[in-house]
Parts: sequence; C-alpha cells; structure tokens
Amino acid sequence: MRPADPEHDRPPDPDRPPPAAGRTSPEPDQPSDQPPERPFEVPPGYSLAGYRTGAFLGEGAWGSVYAAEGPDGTPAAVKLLSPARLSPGQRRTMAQIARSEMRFSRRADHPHLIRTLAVTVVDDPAAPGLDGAVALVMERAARSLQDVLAAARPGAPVPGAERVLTEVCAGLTHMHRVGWVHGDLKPANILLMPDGTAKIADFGLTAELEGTHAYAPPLGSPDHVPPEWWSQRTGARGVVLRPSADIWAFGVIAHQLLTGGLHPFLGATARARSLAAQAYARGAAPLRLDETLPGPWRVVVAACLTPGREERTRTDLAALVARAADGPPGRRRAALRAGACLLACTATVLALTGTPEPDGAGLGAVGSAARPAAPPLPGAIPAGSDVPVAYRGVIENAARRCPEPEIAPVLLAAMLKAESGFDPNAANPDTGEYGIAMWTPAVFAAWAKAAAHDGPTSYLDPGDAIAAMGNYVCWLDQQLKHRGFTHDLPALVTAAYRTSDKTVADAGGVPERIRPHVDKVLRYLADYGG
Amino acid sequence: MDTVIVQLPDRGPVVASGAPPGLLRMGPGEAAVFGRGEPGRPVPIPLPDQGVSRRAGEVTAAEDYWRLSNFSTSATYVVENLEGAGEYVKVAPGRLGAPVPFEFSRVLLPALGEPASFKVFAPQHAYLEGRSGGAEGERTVSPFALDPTAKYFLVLLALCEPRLRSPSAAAVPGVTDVLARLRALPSCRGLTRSAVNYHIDYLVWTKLRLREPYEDGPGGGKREELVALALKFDLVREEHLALLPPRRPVART
Repeated sequence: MRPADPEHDRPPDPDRPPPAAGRTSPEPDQPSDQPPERPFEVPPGYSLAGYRTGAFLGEGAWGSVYAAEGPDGTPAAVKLLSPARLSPGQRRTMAQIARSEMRFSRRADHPHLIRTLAVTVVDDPAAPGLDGAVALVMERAARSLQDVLAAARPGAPVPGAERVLTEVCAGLTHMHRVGWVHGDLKPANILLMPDGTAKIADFGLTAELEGTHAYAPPLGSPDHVPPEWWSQRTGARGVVLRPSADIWAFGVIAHQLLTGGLHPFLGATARARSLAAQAYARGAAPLRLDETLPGPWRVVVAACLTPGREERTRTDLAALVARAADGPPGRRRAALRAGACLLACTATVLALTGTPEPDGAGLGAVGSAARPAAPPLPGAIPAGSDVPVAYRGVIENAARRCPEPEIAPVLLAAMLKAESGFDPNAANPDTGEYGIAMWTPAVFAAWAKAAAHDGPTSYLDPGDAIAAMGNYVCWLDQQLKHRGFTHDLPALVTAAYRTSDKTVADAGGVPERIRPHVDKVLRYLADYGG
Repeated sequence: MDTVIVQLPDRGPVVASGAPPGLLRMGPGEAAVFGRGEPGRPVPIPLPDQGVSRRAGEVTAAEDYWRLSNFSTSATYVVENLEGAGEYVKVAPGRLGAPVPFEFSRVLLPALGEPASFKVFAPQHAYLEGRSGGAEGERTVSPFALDPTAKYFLVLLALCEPRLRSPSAAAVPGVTDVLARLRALPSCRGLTRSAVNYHIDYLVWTKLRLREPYEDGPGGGKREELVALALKFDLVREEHLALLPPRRPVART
C-alpha cells in the first residue's frame, strides 16, 4: 500500500489545476465518482462524417451532444459516446449502449422517431479523448419535452399536449410493432423539432424483443420506470425489458404533459415518487390522478399505470390515445373529420407559406402531415379496409397474442364483420348474444381476461369483447388441431366460434347449417387479403 | 419491491436448527404489529414471551426505511445496528413512528428472561451513484443499492478482487479464501464461515436479485454469477479495492 497522502483529507482546492492524469490513475482512496466534467472537448469545426461540429449543446447520461452542420448547411446534432476515462465495467456498458444506439437509430424510420443521418467511429489518435468514440449524427431538435415541462405552469396542460402525446404514441406503437422496446422513455428523450413535431430519441437502452421480452442493462430513469423494475431479477444479460415498461412511462409522461408537469405519484424526490408508485403497485395505496387531468385522458393514464405488467401488456395504447384525443364518443366521428380537415388545411397553408415560425412558448401547432404506413405484417388489416380504425389496434393485439398462425388480425376482423358488422351495440335477444363479438354472456365470462381498465370486464365493451374473442378463438384453433384437423382451419374455427369445437369435430368439418355464415366470413377474409 | 424484511423470531426455545427463518416482506406503507398476540388473534410478528405485551408495538415500512412504534407505557425498546459496532437507537414508551436509519437492525424488548428480539432488514436504501447523469433532467440510475461500508459489500469485493486486479483471473475465491482475506480487517475479526455464506445469500436474493437458475455446483455458480454481474454492471470498481486490507507482499525469488 502507498504511504498515506496527507493531501487526501484536504478538500480540493478550486484554484489549483487538477492533478495530471498520469498521477491520478487509479486513485484508490478517493471516490472517483464525481460526475466527470465532459471527458473531452470537441474543437469547433471538427469534421465527423462530413459534418462540422459547433457549440456544445448538452450532456446525456452517456454522451455529449454538439451542434453540427452538414456540407449544405443542414442543421444537425452529433452525439458522442466516448469510452475515454471509464472503468472497464462502465466501458462495457457504454459499448453496449453505443451498439444499441447505432443499431436502432440507423433503422429508426418513422416520422416520430429521431432520424440518424450518419454513424461513425472517430479514428483520430491525435485526440486521445475522442479516438474510438462513437459519433451519431442526428436531426437537430429545437428542445426536449423536459425543457417544456421545466417552463410549464402546474395545473394546466402544456400547449399542444394532446398532439405531442398522439405523436409519441405513434412513434412508440411503431417501435413495438417492429419488435423493439425503447427502455428509457422520458421527457428528456422526447425531442421537439423546430416545427413542433415530437420525436422519440435516445435508443441507448433500446432492445429487440425475443418473443415477449428483451434484455437490457439494469439502468433506468427513476421517475419513469415501472414499479416492477426495482425488484426484477438480474442475469448476466441484464434485466428483462418489456413493452409494458414503455407503456408505463407513456402514462407518466401523459400525466406530466396534461397537468403542466405534475408526476402521477406524490413525493418530493424521484426516489419518494418511485416508492409511492411501488406502494400503489402492491395495493397499499390507490391511484390518485391529479384532478386537473382532462377526463378522456384519465382512462389512458390509468390503463398505462395498471399495476400488473401482464395487464399493462394488453393495453391497446394506440386505440386508447386515439379515443382520448378525439374526445367523447358522441362527437368522435365529427371530431375525427374536423381533425382530418384541420390537418389538410394546415398542410395547404404550409404549402402556401413555407415553414412556419418556430413557436416560442408552446409546442408548435403543426402536426406532422402524412405518416407513412408501417410495414404490414402478414395477416395485418389493410389500411384501406372497412374495419373501423378504433378497433384495429385491439384486433391486432388480440390476434398477435395467439401463437397460432391462422389467428391473424384479418380473420378476427372478418369474423367480427360477419357477427355484428362491427356494431358494439349489436344484440340478438333470441339467441342471447350481445356486443361487437356477439358473446353469450356466460361464455364471455370464461374467456375475458383482466381488462385494460378499472372495474369488471363487459361483453358490451368492444375492447373486452375482442380481447376475449381472441383468447377463445385461439383456444378453439388449438383444440381443433389437437383433434387432428390440419386443413381449412379458418373455416373450422369460424364454425366452432358459432357452435363449439365438439360440434365441428362431430360433424367432421363445417356443419351444413353454419355453412352460409362461414362462407360469409371467408369472403370477407378474402376481401381483407387474408 | 420489498423495502423492509422482518426476520420472524424463532417460535419458542426448541426449534429445529437449520430450518429457514420465516420472513415477512413489506413494501412502502405496509405495517406489522409485534407482540405476544391474543388468543385467536395472532400478530404478524409473534414474540411468545409472557413479559411482552399482547400488542407491544408496530413496524411500518416508510419509503425505503422503517419506523418503530412503541405501544408500551413503561418499556423502552432498543434498535441495534447489527453492523454499527454498538450503534443503537432508543425508542421511548409511547413513541410512535420513530424512524430507523439502519439497513440491518435488531429490535430488543424487555422480557421475562432474555430480551425478546427480532431482526429487520431495509435492503433498498439508496446511495448516490458514481455515474454522471445529465446536469438537468432525470438521471439514469441502476436498481441496485449497495452500501460500500457494509459487510456484504466487503464480501462481494473480496469475491471480485482477483478479477478486478487481473481481468483474466479465472477462479472466483471460495468462502474460505474470502474469510482469510477479510479477517485482517478490524471490523471483520469475528467473521465466520456461516456469516460469509449468509452475506452471499443476501447479495444473491435481496441485493442483486440473481435470476435463477444459476448452477450451484462445486464450481461456485452462485459466487461466479455474483462476480460476473457486479463487474459487468460496475457495482464493484477498482477504487473499492482500497477497502480491503493490504495484500501480503509477494516474496520475490
């Protein structure tokens, strides 16, 4: 051991230059864990992948962000992830984060995900701090939601909150659909472009789903991680990451934006708030949403903040957000039309006047015009079909929860169309069947899993009815396969839904009296391209 | 998350040794009464001594610490810090909700014979993290809370030491090696084999929460996994090595 150094007990002298790097490495007696002050400087005008760097913009958990300009003057931002001056363990985590950033930001292609313009690894032995750093050149945003919330007045939604939430939801839904989990959704990672468009950024903890979950380093933001995050078991690959974590974070962000920055759980510190969330999740305290949270959004926030992650997984975020953003059911259709017009009109104005001035205080008023459709999965409901938009998400979710390939969204949609014509108020008192999926209430009760909302499930609720239908149809399909059927499963399942798997088995196929109904479903299925 | 874990006292003097102690796991806002209990109305933390009142007091989990209420009108309760070298807190008769700051505590109540006692753990105390976060906004944190001054940390450190000093070192020390390494420290003079095993289990189940199954064979799967995790996620770092006693100088030949 080294002889004791008398200077160790003395507080650092601010006027003295810090000791040279050679002397301090590694200094075992001293906590090295003061936040490293920007481990390296990027000289102005430094060239990275053809972009020239400019002013220092800010610091994230793992990297520094600098302004940059493309050869044609395009404004950009460069995020530098540097392994310099990190311990081996940190370096490993950093490498993992850099890999994840490179991988996901390059593939992120959605109007509400930050686009990466170039990725490069700095090769400059002359600049030891920079050498080996990963540089990600991205679109430059005007500010983050964090900035907006910092300036917000509690008790009222921040301007444009609903639009921002709809856009974030679109970006997030896209990520989940292509099999990614963001893993660190929070206001600081949601950026607002100069025109006000919201984009999700920071894919350092993003991971790809392997089945129902992914693995990520055990890192998170205490105000936005779900309650189960704190007690998860850890393995060599890190902690399990699920889309339900992003859903929880979305609920917290929605509450923050719509109440002018209030967190849904009370407490003076992030620690206290996260413990309050855990008390709620254990059932020790009820959920108390702020009274200023607008009515239609209470449903969304409550669904996102469902204590059980399994139930949260079943939340159809897109459908809920669409419903809340469109207002109460009575004027939903009208509002939708008005909204469409508004968008079209804005687009026209934009075309006439060019880009609007950036909106200083608010979030900007312009929504992103057209969203390119996500790459359709096999069996997905075609965009132009007659399946009501409000139910598509629920149907997709219900079908996707079933591992059987026949149970595709289009099959459920075709069955629903034949059953009720998508009418949630459909009823046939003679046969005792009700709702969009024409459930016999007693049968429904057996197949309804815990709903994505408070209170009991109902066969009259389209979301519940369709979710339960997905469960039942999936089971029927498996039963029929078990009984040895291998062909025409969509037809057989349809027949079994009307009768039972036993009836179909006894008839050795579609019973004659059900044939017209089955033909109708198969016709609709063909219409949907299934 | 279990923020407070009460190790239930043994029931009576004759207890099959080796039986795992009962644990009462609590989260923020939950409370449990201790005492002798009433016939037909047992309490969650039973202390079967005639000298202890039926409802002697209450443990309440509050945030990541816990509070002790003393329902007695005459007896003072004492909460010992099991790792604090004699540190303790006194809770006066009638005092409600006295905060207890220790991670490992033993609550002592006057009884007819030996004082009645039970242990309380608060494994989720938070510590400042070394990693830098953004100056503004929300910091990124890890869900592990390790106290570098605790014995379990020294045990983890001793397990990690060979790999910290030389990343290529293959073997993870066994319990005997850990014991030999730590006994030179004044605070660890009384450390026993079973205590080291206890700390390893505490790390595995409560602090780092390893996902099963690890291979628990002669190769020390549990210890191996602990070390891999602690190093991978930087929970034990080079600078911590200073907490260990100096190594014997290697004789040069």
